Amino acid sequence: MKSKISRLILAGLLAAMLAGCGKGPLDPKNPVKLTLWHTYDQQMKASMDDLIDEFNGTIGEQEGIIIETGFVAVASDLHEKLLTAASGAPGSPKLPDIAVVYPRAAVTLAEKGLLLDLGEQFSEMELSGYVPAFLEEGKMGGDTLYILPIAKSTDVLYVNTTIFDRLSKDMGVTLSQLATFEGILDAAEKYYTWTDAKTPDIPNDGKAFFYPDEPFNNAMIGFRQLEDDFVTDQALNLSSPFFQKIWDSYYPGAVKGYIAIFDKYANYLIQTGEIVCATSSSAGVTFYSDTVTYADNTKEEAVLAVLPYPVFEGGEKIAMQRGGGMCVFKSDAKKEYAAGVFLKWLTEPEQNLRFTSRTGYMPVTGAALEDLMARETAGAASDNIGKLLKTVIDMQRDYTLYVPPVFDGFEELQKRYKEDLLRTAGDSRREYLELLGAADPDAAYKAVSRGVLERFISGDKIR
Amino acid sequence: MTMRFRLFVFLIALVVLMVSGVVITLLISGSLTGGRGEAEEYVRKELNRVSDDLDARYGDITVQLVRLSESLSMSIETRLWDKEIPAAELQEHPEVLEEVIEGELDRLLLALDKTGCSGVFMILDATVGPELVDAGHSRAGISVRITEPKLSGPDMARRYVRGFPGIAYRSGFSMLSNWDMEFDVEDRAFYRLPLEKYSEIGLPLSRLYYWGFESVISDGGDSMILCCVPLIGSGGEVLGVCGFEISAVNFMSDYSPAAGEYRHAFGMLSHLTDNGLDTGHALFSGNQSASCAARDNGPLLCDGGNGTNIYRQQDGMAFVGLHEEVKLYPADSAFADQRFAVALLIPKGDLDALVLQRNVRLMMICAMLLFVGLGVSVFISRRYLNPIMSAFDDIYSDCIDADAKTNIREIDRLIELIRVTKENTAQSGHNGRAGALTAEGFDALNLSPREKEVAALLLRGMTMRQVSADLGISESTVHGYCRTLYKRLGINSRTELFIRFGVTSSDNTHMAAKPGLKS
Repeated sequence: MKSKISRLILAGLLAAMLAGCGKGPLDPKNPVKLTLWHTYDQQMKASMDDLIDEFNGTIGEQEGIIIETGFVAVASDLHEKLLTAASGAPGSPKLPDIAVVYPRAAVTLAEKGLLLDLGEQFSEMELSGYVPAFLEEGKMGGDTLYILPIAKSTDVLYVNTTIFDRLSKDMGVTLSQLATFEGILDAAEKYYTWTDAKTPDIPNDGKAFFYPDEPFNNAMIGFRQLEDDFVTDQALNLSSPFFQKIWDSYYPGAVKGYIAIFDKYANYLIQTGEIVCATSSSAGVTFYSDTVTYADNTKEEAVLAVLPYPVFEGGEKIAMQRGGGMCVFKSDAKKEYAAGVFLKWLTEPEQNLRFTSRTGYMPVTGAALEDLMARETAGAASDNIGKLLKTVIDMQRDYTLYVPPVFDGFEELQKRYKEDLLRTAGDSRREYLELLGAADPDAAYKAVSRGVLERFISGDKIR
Repeated sequence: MTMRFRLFVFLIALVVLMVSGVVITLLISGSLTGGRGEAEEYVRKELNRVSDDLDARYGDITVQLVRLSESLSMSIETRLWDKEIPAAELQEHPEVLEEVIEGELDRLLLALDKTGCSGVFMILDATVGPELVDAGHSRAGISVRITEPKLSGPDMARRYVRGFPGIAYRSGFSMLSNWDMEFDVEDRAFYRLPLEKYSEIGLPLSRLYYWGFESVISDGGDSMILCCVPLIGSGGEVLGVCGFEISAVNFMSDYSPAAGEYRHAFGMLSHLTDNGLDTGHALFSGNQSASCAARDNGPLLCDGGNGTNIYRQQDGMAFVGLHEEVKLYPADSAFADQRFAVALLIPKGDLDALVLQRNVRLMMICAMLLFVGLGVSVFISRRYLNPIMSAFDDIYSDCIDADAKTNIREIDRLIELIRVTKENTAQSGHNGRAGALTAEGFDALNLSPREKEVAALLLRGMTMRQVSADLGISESTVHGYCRTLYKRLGINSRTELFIRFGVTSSDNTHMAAKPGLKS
């Protein structure tokens, strides 16, 4: 009798122990709350919100994880907040558990020892499912994976074909010539002339045709297309003979009014009809409206074309690999594990494709990318996204995507170059406009541009 | 019924009684209601917190808005006077609109920061293109929103929803993809109603502000509630409207209920109508999946209930909770007939499942106690009775071991008595008297003469009284002699005495005749 009872008790204890096995460190009854900061704003925010709600209602509930969005902002603002939080200065916000970061900010955070090595949460098998180039970017030149790719993008050329078609009809320009920067410059000059002619009483009031959203990226990619590096030894390679080509693709056009001098996003200028085309991130497709509103509040439908990123004549087809990923801040074992569970779910092909089809980003796993290529644009949330995805798929096949270098100070270098270039071009433009009354455009340009490039290269900027 | 079974039944009855007692105690104390009382407490507490805070905050927003309207109106008029343009002729001067609007930007942004709202807007009763086809319902103005969710602190990134693009460029705002230069105010209640009421009734601004579940732009994205009030010149001219927006994200971050056990609890601010809580015009906080389910299925009709209410929708979805009316308007407001309520709700299915889970847990504990009790009863009944039954078996088999013990004193004495009796019976077969104590045996007991006398009289069948009368001593003395006698013989009763001396009722006289015994 005694031995029977003892066996029964032992069996019961064993069953209880086994029932507790197989679970992670999380408890569904006491869920772990994780704060997420991200850059997916406006229309993209709805997509991310839906995914987070779905996670919280399914896997999150089963495992005991709640994801909360703590902050949404553009990349520059979010980076600033992250760095402020990381500094621990009085009044600074608390660091989130997960955040969207770009390598340029992540490198600083990693140096402070704040970022988790994501290799601890992902097995080799799991990591092998991601596109290798995207993972490499997340290692920032080292061996530790700090940034998990979530959604990638590249640069493309957006064209308002409603205006372009009118220009094409009158001036003979073609969409195919926009495949090169030289072709764009030619079209820009013709557009200026064409729009200037519409107001014969007001000379020299032609409109700008083109705007490169990020001049620094343009320079970096331009150099790569021409098989050189714009950034060497953490400094700008302005003395390279290729910089003349880069300079010529922007400065002259900007001074003469063919190219916009602007320090914000290209879609603003396209929305207001102030330019016709722009190079910008493929992730920005949802920010382009179907309508152009002019300064007198007249409106016009805008049919957008999304073309591959232009190439310098004779250059290689190279474009930027863009798009941030998500990093996890070190905390405790439960939160780190929970973050891993969320990131794995988020980047599973099903979820990743749903997000990318609504936003225009590229998926990050091989399986998802193959699926996207197989069904092309089917399932895209809008016509513009469909066009964008088609172009991106083509670029994935035909282009090499370039990953910029990452080092502390890279962002500052980028910011200074853009500011200096825009200021130089702006100053020259103002002088040019003043001279136009007395001189013809070519003479005025020669006068204002004398020595400007040399001074720019030497670091002595015109003020 | 065997002794074992009787004992088992007795123990089971005891266990069942104890467990029943526990269950009854739980029932009386309300623990077996499975947490409905706790749910009610939670709902009341969270609802009070939300309702009080919302009352205060939204009241403050209306105060700030009226002040903003007054200062904007004065400032706009001043700007127009500087340009020698009467306020009433604003519509005829579209060329000044951008400058006028940009001139009020700082005031608007300051007010936005003070109130912690999601956005601020100002719409002038004028348009940039009066000759355009849609000029009748296109109005110039500005709308700025902050990025949300937001972190605390100033300098939040600002997003430009409506206005002149130049203002956005110069002020560093991000233009939204659904940006447009002017507002389309056709059939927009927030613009039309306050101005209509002003024209009809002429109430002061503090009675003309309007709360509505809408965005300042028709494709506004996030769900919003806005508060809007007219801009009135010093001469009573209508200059436009201004207001604040509060987004669903903003509402959620401030008024989400503490989750805890009720993961699917959510809060709601909505219109309160005769049909119930209007989920089509509402802001939600807390659990999104539960609130989405509520949002998409029509109004919530309140059924009343015990402590908390039950709210049902057309498709049968039900929620448990409470609601409280929120006074967003004073009694004499132009819009006082609009009613709002804030509610705290839990999906009924969730609460029922939680209650069931708790009850099941309690019942399982009781069942486990019962089961353990059963096991212990079986164990005890067997273990307690085994030696007794074994001893009985020995008795029946005539093999009583002198050293066999049950360790139960009464049983051991009985078994000893039976064993001795059996031995005496066997011995008396040689002596002619079964079990009789012999004269030599009696003398060997070393009794006093008086004790022998008492023994003899008792063995004759006399009572204690008769013995005391016969011997001429008190009854208590007889009792004393008895105690000593029994002690020496190791017995407890007269019956054992008879057995010890091998006496039956017919032997009483014979015993009295024995030597040493008084007759």
